[in-house]
Amino acid sequence: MSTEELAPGSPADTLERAKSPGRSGSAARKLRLRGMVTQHHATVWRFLRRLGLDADDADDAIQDVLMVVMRKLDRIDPRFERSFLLRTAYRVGCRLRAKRPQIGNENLADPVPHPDVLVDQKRARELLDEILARMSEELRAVFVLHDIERLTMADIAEALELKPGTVASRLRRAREDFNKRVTRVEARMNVREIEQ
Amino acid sequence: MSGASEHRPVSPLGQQLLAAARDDDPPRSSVQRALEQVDADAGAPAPTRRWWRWALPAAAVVLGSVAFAFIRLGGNNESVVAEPLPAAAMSAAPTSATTSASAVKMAVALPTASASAATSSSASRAPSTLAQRRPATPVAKTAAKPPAASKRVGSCGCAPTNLMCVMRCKQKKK
Repeated sequence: MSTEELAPGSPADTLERAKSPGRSGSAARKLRLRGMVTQHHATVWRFLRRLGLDADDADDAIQDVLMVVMRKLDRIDPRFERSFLLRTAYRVGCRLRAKRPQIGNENLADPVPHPDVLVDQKRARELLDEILARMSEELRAVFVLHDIERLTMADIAEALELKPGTVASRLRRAREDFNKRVTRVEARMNVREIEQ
Repeated sequence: MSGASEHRPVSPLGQQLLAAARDDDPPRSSVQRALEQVDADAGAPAPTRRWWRWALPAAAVVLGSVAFAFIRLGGNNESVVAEPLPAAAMSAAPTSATTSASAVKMAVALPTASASAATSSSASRAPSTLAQRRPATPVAKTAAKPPAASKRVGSCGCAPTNLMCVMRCKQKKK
């Protein structure tokens, strides 16, 4: 396929130009990288945050992800850029989390926020992060990608290099776990409301 | 798969938490930092890993030298095998003995066989039994020795050092 036949600005066109040597190839590479950042940065950042990294660690993880992307850009299929980014982010995020003390522990008590605090989105996210922190990493990754980022199961299977059946099974278990924990938090909130 | 995707979190609180997470956008500084990183890289040449440019010739040299050494070693083995065999061995050797290993075995086994054939006519076989029992291996050590048949004396095939056998043989001849 020649370059003239490709629609300008399309992913295939960008890849074609990225492969071509010289200054135009370098410009196409830069263009493609910028496109990846502008399109998928928010998704990757949210995914890393929900994996349990704080904002600074998420930024550092994104730097690491971009390093990997820059090294392997020629081998990344433009159709699977998001999958590649999420897969790399998952690995980097798990590695960063492994260096830090683990929060997730079944023996810890579930958080009990005041009902009013949920008005604040920030507090709601903190509560969600506390609930997610008690889930295992593999369940959490699938749950976040499906129920927060709204990826399809096929996309999740591609991103996390899992079989579709494994994704479905993990999602089912993650939802059961999530619902159980949320119900427990709700019950405690009701108790506190009655007490006040 | 579709059944699992239809199963949504039922709790309103859960829905509220997930919605809050969806609205969580990264700070602008984070995006800016990533874009700066991309801009800094785009000017630099892409890292290439052309390790095969030196690895392939090096591997070829190593393999070639190993093959050359193997061929040389094989040539030396052939010279060992090419020692002249005794006449009896030459006449009895099959024409299909082409490999060096089988040729060496023939060179070892045939003199012993010819010696035992020579002694079969005599009444006493004691002197040659030790030589017959001795195994053919190790091949190299046995092949380096001169043929044992050339050392035999007399019709009995006695070793020259075995004086008892020689004397007995002479007495029998008389």
